[in-house]
Formats: sequence, C-alpha cells, structure tokens
Amino acid sequence: MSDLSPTEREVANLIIDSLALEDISAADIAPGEALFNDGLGLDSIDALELAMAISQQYGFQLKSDDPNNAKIFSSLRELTNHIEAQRQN
Amino acid sequence: MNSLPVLHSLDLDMPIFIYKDKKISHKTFKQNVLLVAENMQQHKYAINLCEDRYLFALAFVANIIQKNICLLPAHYAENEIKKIEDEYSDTQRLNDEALEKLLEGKAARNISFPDEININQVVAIVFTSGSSGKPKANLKKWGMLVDSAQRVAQQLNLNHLSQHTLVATVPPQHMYGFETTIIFPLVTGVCVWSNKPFFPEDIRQALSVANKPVILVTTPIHLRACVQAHLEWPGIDFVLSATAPLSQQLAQDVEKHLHTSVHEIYGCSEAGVIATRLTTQSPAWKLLAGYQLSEKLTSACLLTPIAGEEILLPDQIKHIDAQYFYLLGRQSDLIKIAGKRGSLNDLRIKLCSLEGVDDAVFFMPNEKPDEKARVAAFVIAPCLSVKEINSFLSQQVDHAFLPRPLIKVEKLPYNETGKLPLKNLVNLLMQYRNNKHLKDSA
Repeated sequence: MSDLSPTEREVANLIIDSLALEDISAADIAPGEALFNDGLGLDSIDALELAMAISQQYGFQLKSDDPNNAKIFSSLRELTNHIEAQRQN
Repeated sequence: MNSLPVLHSLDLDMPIFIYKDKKISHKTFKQNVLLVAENMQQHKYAINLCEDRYLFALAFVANIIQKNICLLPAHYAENEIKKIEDEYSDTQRLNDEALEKLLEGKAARNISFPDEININQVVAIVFTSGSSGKPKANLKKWGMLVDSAQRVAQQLNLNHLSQHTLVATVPPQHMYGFETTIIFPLVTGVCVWSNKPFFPEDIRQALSVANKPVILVTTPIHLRACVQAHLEWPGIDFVLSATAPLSQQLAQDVEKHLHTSVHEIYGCSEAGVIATRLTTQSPAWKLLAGYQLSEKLTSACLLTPIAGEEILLPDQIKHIDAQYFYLLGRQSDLIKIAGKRGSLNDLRIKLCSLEGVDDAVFFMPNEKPDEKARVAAFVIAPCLSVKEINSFLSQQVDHAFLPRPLIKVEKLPYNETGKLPLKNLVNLLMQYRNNKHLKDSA
C-alpha cells in the first residue's frame, strides 16, 4: 500500500484503465517506482494507449521530440508532475 | 533477368529521403552509400539497428555492395539482439550514431556504385518472434524484394512521376516498414521522411511539413490514436495500414476525420505484401498482379513469380476469382499483436512451466480487431502472486503478449467435453469485472 496524492491516484487509475491492468489497483503502485519492467519503451503500444487516454482526459498532446519523454514515463510521480505542469500552461 | 538495379530512378537530382529537414538527392545518397561501404568494418553480417530510415538505407545498401547481409531483429531489446549474435558469427551492430560517425569519414575512392545486383543475392534476414522463443529467420533475396515492391507500387499507382512523399510510423526492421520505407524509395521513386513520428501530434506535424502528395504508412493502433486526437489533419493522398486487421468502423472514421482513403495491406514476414483492399469499399482482397493463391485445408499457399517455391500462409482464404479473395481468419490458436505473431497454446505451455502454476489459459477477449488487442489469462496458482507470475512471463515472452489482465482463479471454466470455449472465458472475465466494479465503488 502506498500514499498517493489525489492527482497521483487519478493518474494511476487512468493508467490501470487505459492499459487494462485490471489485476492491480491504484494502491499497488508506488509513486516513485518504475511503471514498467524495463521502463516504458516509446515503441510500445502502451505508450500510445496512455497518450490517447492522457489527451482525452487532460486535453494536451504528447510529442516524441520532447527530450523529457523517458523521464515523463519513468514513474507515476513523474507522469503526474508532467500532467500537472501541462495543465497549468 | 539475373540482376536488377539498386536505384531505379534515372534522375539523380530527385530527392530520395528527407533527413533532418533536408532533401537527400539520389546523387548524394549514392555518394554516401559508397562512403559508408568503404569506411565501415567488414563483417559478414550487420545487425541494422538504425531507427532513422535514411541511415538505415545507407547501411543496407552499403552492405549489399560489400556482399554482406543485414540482419533485422524483431525488436531492439538487448536479449533479442544477443540471441541473433549467438546464432550468427562475424556480426557487427550498426545504429544511427555509428552511421553518423561513418558519414564524417573521407569520400570513397576505391569502390564504385554497382549498376545492378544479382537477384539471388541474399541481402537481408528479417526476424520474427518465433513461437519457440528463438527468433525465426526470413531470408530476403534482392530479386524478391524488388519484384514485390514494384507490384505493390503498380497496384497503388505509385511511380516516379507521382512524386509522393511517404511518412511512416513503423520501424524499418519490421517487414512492412522495410518494404515500404526502404525498398520503395530505392525501387519506385517515392521520397521517404526519415524520422519515425509516433504520437498523433508528431504524425500531424510530419504530414504538414512533408511535400505533397503525401502517404501515411501506419497501423490500426496509430490510426485509432489519430482519430481520437481530434486534430486538424493536412491533406493526405492515402493511408496504408497493416500489422493487424483494420475494422470497417475505424477505416470509416479515418476517412471521415483524416479526409483520405485507407488501403489495407495483407501480408506476412515470409512473403511481404500479398494483397490490398480499400477497407470501406469491399471486404475482398486484391492479390498483387502475377501472384497465385491456392486454398488448402487449414491454410493458404502463395506462389509468386520470383520466389520459386510455395509459401505457406497462416490464414485460410476463399477465392472469389483468380485475383480477388476473402480472408476467412487465422487458425484460432494464432494471434497477432502489434505486428507480432504468437500462439495462445505456446503462451500457456510457457506459463505452466513455472513452478507453482497448476493450470492456465490464454485467450483474446476482444472481438473488435483494432480495439485494445491484448491477450488475457486465467491462472490457477494458489502460492504465487500476480506480480511474480508477470515477472516470470516478461522474461519468457514478447511484451506484446503479456496478459492484460492476468487473473488468478480457483478453477477454469471447462465444459463437459473438457474444453475451454471462448464464450465461457469471456463470461468469467465479465463476472470478474462486474465484481471488481462493485468492490471499487463500494
């Protein structure tokens, strides 16, 4: 069990829903831990699914020329930070 | 006809790639191929890991000239590449950085660009994730590649005069990307955008900047993301889609939102492109001119004018006439996710080999082809956690085949004849989802 901020919980649920990770719950995700076994390769269908869900829920588009991509997808906390930063723009 | 040209365009000033926003002419391409060919280390095999299409093509043609063979792995994962290196001795790895470095070398003096290459020269080996866990090698001879690309171009009305620019989201190592973004520019006169845009906004930007008319080469997964992104799309002459079945609905949505038509491609790593269709207009596939398909009991056989031997396809077909056919579907055990083929039974055998797993089943719960196409699994393993099981599987199988979801159960829904019908599995999954929903909202 981990303590998630409200936004982290919201993003965790978005990840679980968009990637069909129904076998885990938001509380199982530690905010600082790697989201995927080998990091999330941007080749993967997961990245596209997640990008689609993010653009639908938060209204901004991810771009692969963003040099921060590896960081953005590295953990729940980083992803949440990025989403919060984009929302304020 | 024992040999065929490497470059088919006669106009050396015509662009062949757009690399870092600059046009690369056929003339520059030839010079740089020679530069790479002369300055690179000479090994029998080159594992071509270049992600940039221009750099990939330089490495590819340079190795053809030196009579070496490019090895194209199914993905970039280190253990996948290691497996290939274990199998093939005398290899080198070529990636974007290596090519950029080679391009800084001195212009070639000692070799010249060949007019033609023998059609029987093996120029590449395309690997697919083999069901046994060992990558499966598909040998590609120069003649086969050229012949097939020319027939596809003819079917799609692509030629040197049409001056199309091609933007693609698929990697050049995969057969579909290899044919369309590497062989096409050499053989048909299309100019290729060397980057690989990934997210919808990347794709939109590349299409906006590329010279018109422009073609988008992509997959149903990317198309669904593009449709849902609600962007303003620039004029696209047409879209090519392959690697997974495209539904009528998605094809219609693409035509509506991206204001273009979608040609769907039916093909496989063994043969490359086999047939095309306009998905919104007809369920029938149009075979490439000169190709022949024969119906067999469990699957179809393909004969191409140049291959010399029949290629067994993993699908059943039904002829309409000699040129048109219907695809009746895959043998049910075989699955295809993100362009990778696998077998459900194979996944089951792998999972059951884990100590503590008493029984397991893998299935495709989603009937709509381009929706989230992932396998799901039920497993009986009282002493193991889902995390432990997933971590074991991730070392054993391609990540595209990791089950979503993986659910631990006490028993599997066998019917009275000892089988596990898909209907029973889907029902159990629905039950699980409903229970979870109740629990979550409580």
